[in-house]
Amino acid sequence: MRKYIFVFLCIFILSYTTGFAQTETNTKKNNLEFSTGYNSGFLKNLALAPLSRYEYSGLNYQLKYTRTSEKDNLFEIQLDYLNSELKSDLIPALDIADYSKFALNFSYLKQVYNKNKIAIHAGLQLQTNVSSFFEWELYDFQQKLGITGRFTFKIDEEHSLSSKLTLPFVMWRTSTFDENFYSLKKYQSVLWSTEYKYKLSNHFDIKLNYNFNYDRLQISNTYRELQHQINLGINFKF
Amino acid sequence: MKYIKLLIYTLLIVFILTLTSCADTLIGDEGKLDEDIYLNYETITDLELPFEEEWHIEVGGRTHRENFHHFISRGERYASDIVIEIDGRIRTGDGSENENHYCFGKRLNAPGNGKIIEIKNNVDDNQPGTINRDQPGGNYIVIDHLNGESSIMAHLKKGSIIVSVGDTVIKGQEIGKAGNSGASTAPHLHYELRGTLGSLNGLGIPAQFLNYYRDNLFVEQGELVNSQKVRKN
Repeated sequence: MRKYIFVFLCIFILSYTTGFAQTETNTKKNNLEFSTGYNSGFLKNLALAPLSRYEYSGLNYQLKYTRTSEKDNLFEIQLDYLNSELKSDLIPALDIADYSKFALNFSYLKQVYNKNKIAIHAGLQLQTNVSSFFEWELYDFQQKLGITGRFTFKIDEEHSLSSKLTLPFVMWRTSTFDENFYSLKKYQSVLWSTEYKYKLSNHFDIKLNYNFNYDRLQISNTYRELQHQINLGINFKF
Repeated sequence: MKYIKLLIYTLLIVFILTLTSCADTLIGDEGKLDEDIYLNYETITDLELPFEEEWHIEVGGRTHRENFHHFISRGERYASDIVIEIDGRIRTGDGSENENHYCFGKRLNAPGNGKIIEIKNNVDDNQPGTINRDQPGGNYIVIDHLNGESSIMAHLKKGSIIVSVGDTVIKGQEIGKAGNSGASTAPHLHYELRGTLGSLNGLGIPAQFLNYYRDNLFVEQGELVNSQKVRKN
């Protein structure tokens, strides 16, 4: 089913690439994006299993809404979902067939610079991560707050590049393994996303983006998670 | 402008390639010790089953499925919950009283030679179906085997422990009785082996028992896994 969705999305995007007329020029204030792509991840959770790392891969789905204000400030809501299998070559008996992860981000970014095709926004991001193991028999809920910045470079009328960096500085975690509040001394995280966007019409863009997500918790039950994601998506402007 | 674009594209690609190639550094080596314990640890203490009669392994083993609530804690990873089961049942009647459970009040022995380093003996037994989360171990005994390993036996019957801190015990010596105290909803014995020295201090380690019967077959050395029936003789 996931492969069909992916193929359908690719065909849909290609058809727009070749078929759409680009005549209107007015700027739209709402963007709704859907993208999907490949996720490659690594997880270490010493409470979950006596392994220095699990590896997982599979399709990732992303839905994002962006509202641009009159002053070009940005409000973003993004939902990510992936479902995969945690695997270890070293001890296959500890593989976990059902690993799901949801991430919900709320960001507010204020425009701080806009000149010569370059725009810079800065703000805050609230992120909720929920991971499920064994169909919710074990869970890990993390609530994070961080500073965030977005750099956008408009190459020309049709092409643009943007990059968003988020540095969470506090996390509240409640899970089967642990319940605690952490700050930068024990918790470090980087979320980086970079994106190439091509304007198909006044209503549609296509985008290709790469996400790098990293979390590190320095406690006795060490927790670290690293994700690389490459996504292809479509953006509807209205 | 053309060169600026080229520079930006190149920098992005190089940066992404750098990030994707540094997974080993970012994930780190923590957990190698846990892997080594899982794959290679051999129990040092001569352990024998800490009870008389035939008991049933309710929870125990080396996977999430076999040992669900212990396996997700580094200290209890290889622990077992053990009961007496007769004709597929662990109790008579509706089990609403501790005395209805076959293992309640049964004799418990020291699983190996050592010294008693910690006991608790005054926690009330729970009514079956209820739990005391304030004192999770309930009445318990810690035996230091004086070789880097210690045994912990928990949820014992209130007032049943007949040894004191500082006593030396020998393998097979009676030390208390099975109960239903602490974080326990029904009478059972919780047994675990922990490391006490160096990097193993506080970590759960596999307990390999010697010379016992498992499902009526003699075993020279083995670990307790759920659904097994085990006895000393």
